Amino acid sequence: MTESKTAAAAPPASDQSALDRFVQGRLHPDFLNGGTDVYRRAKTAVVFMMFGGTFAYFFTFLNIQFKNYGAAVVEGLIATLVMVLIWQFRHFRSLVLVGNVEAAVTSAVLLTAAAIAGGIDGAALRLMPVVPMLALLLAGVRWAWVWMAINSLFVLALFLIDKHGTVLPESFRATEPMYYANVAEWWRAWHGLTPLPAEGFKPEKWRELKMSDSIGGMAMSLGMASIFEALKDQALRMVEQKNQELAQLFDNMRQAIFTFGKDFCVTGQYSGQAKKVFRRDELDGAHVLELLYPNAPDYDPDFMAFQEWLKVVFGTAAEGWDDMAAMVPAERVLNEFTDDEIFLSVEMRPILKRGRIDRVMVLASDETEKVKLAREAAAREAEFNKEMAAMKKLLSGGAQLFIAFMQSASDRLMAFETDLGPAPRMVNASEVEVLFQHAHTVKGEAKAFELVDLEDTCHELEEKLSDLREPATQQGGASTEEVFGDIVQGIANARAHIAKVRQQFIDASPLGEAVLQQVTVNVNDVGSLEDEVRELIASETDSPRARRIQKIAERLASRPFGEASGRLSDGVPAWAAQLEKRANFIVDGKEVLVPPQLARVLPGCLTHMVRNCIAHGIEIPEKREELGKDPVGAIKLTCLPGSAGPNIIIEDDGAGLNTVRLREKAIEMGMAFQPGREWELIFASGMSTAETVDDISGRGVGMAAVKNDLEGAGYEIDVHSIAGKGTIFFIRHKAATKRTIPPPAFTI
Amino acid sequence: MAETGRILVIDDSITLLSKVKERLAKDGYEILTTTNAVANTALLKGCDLVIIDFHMPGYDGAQVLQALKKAAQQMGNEALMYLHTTDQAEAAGYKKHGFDGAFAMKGNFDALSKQVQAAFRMIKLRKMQKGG
Repeated sequence: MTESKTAAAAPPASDQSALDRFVQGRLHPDFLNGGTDVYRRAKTAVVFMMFGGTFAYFFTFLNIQFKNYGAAVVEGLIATLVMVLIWQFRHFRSLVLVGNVEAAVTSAVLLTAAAIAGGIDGAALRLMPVVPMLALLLAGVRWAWVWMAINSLFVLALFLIDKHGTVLPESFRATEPMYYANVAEWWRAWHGLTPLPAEGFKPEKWRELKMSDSIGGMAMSLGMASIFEALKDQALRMVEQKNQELAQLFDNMRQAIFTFGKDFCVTGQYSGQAKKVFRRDELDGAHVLELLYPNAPDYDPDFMAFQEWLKVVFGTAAEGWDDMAAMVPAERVLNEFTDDEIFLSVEMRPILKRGRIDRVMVLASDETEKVKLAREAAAREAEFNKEMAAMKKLLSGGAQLFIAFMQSASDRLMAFETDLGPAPRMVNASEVEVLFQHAHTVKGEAKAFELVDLEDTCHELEEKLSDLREPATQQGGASTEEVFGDIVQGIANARAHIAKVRQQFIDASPLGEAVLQQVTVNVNDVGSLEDEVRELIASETDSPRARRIQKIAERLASRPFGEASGRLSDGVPAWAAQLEKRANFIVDGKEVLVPPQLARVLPGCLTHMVRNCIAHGIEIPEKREELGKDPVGAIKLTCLPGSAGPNIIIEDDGAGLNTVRLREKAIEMGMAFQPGREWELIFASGMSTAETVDDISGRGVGMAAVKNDLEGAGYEIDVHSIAGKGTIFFIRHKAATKRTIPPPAFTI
Repeated sequence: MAETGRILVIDDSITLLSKVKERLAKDGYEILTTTNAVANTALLKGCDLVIIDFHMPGYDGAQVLQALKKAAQQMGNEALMYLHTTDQAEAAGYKKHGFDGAFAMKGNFDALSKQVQAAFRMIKLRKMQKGG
């Protein structure tokens, strides 16, 4: 209704420009009556307020993206105020609504999309002012063409600036593409303003924002320096937040992480661990060679090679990185040969820019503890091997002597403890000498057997007792009170050492625990005795006493199982290595006695079967890993005492017998077999499933010979196999009934 | 991982040559050894690295090095020549004698293995720089 009245009051159409007609059609009559100047000023004000409102919305949403909510509220209020002011001109209300609402919605959509995409895209920003123009045109606001033309020129200018930088100083173009920070510096320089504060302003960090050149361009073009400054602060806060997140991530990785650029100096973020590892409070600007090669002499080949690497790396294309990475020193030792040695495993990753390596990220893991542990383990292993070698030497040179030493040393320590007394007391000189003698004797014997720990412990005991010698001699007595605790502890330590070497001695012996009961006798005498007893029993079969004597003679002539299996301990790893396999060898029941008939053939039989286990059973490590097995195979020998004779189990955790191949070979050779028990075919003469003959297996005569040898000794052999799980052999005396024999079952 | 490359080791000690050969061959290198480099410059053919003892009885180390360099140049061989020494001060002066580098800690074969790996990295990087 009001609009129709206004239109009626307007001057005739023929005397007016199109714009005047448009304005008259929309402005309130009171406004028009105010005069032409006022009208023009008002029109100009409205148009600029439109700009202001639109861009206020834009920056409102920009602030929201930067999480600067305070500024967003202020700018939102400004936008609202502008809108309210325009709203006063009621004929512009449609313009206000269309323009500002469209600007707000467009800003929100574009900036939200940009935020989701991880940055503000320049193209989207360039388009942003265009969208409300289109909306205005659609709404019938014809002079929006002018606005659109101005904006198009502005957008075109931004494109030209982006592309050529022709309107910008050389320094600005040199750092193309344009970054917000460059714009800021240029802006300030151009206007002779105070330079930006160095503190907190790190141009390189701005680049990480993915900020569009267009933001800076827009701000510059519109002269919105204050908003720009606000944006800068917001962006810096965002950078700082991102940097903190990055530093947190680095710290969580527990690695020394830093990046260096083309000047080989540290730039950007680095981890807290890096400061710790490189013993520095700050890494900014530190040269990578100073960090990775502190104190390295110039001639250090590793140092020289890395210097050469640095010369090459920044000229390398991205696809050449793998070659470069292979030439990075994989490990570094800082402060080598000092107490502060740091072992680092080093990796490097490229940070690319336009397909070239722009920076290099160094990831160094502190392996010091790991290396030290490995060294300690190696030292312990070396010590253990030394001790075992000493034990083996002892065993080969007369085990009885060492057994006697262990017994006498234990007895002497017990006597030491008794002579010391249960509690501190006064001792005279002769008593001190007796105590001293105990320690000294054990020490001397320990030295003879190269038992360093025991020797050291006894030496400490001597030292403690020495303190008592003088007062005991000169004053007629000395109290053991001060040294009592230490001496008791020393005796306990000495006992622990003896227990340890006793166990090592047993472990090193092929006879196991049985070695402690062994005495040296003439083997011919034992053989003769057994023969004589057998003849005697033949004539006195009913005599229980004769049978007892026969049992004793048999036991005397028996050999511990460990004697037959002992030689395999060193052989298994070597034979496996020949076939590029790995195998552990386990023996249980080393001390079980094996009667002489079986003892004569058993070593050969076991050797053959174990070699077969390696050749046909145990898979190569890669295959075992594929099958989910331990890459190291296992072969286990178990000897159990039985009423008729020992029961011996030989098992492996390999592939099991190839029953299909055995069946095929049996058919080929015209041999009969029981379906489901094809395994038994391996005892047939000429049977071998091996494709090739080597020095470990494959001739097809071995298992037949094994069976014959065992049968000759009165024993039988059986076999079971499960495909993929392994094979198990079972040797038992022929007289043993099936019921008394435990069913074969895999124990590995 | 097995390395590749041919190395000529020159020393007056046959024992040391044998040990160096054993260790570096285990790493995968092809090792040639000689106690008389001057008479055996032909051994340089195809070598990537030459490891030289500077103090060999009856020889002037500098002259040996010059003879080797001349022979290598005639063959078109760009092998790197490294001084092998126990003396760190002497190692530091490798450039003065005309060597390309130095392997200190002579007698420590694990250290030598790592040093040789680094030297081969250097060789590869130099080839890369030349566009090889």
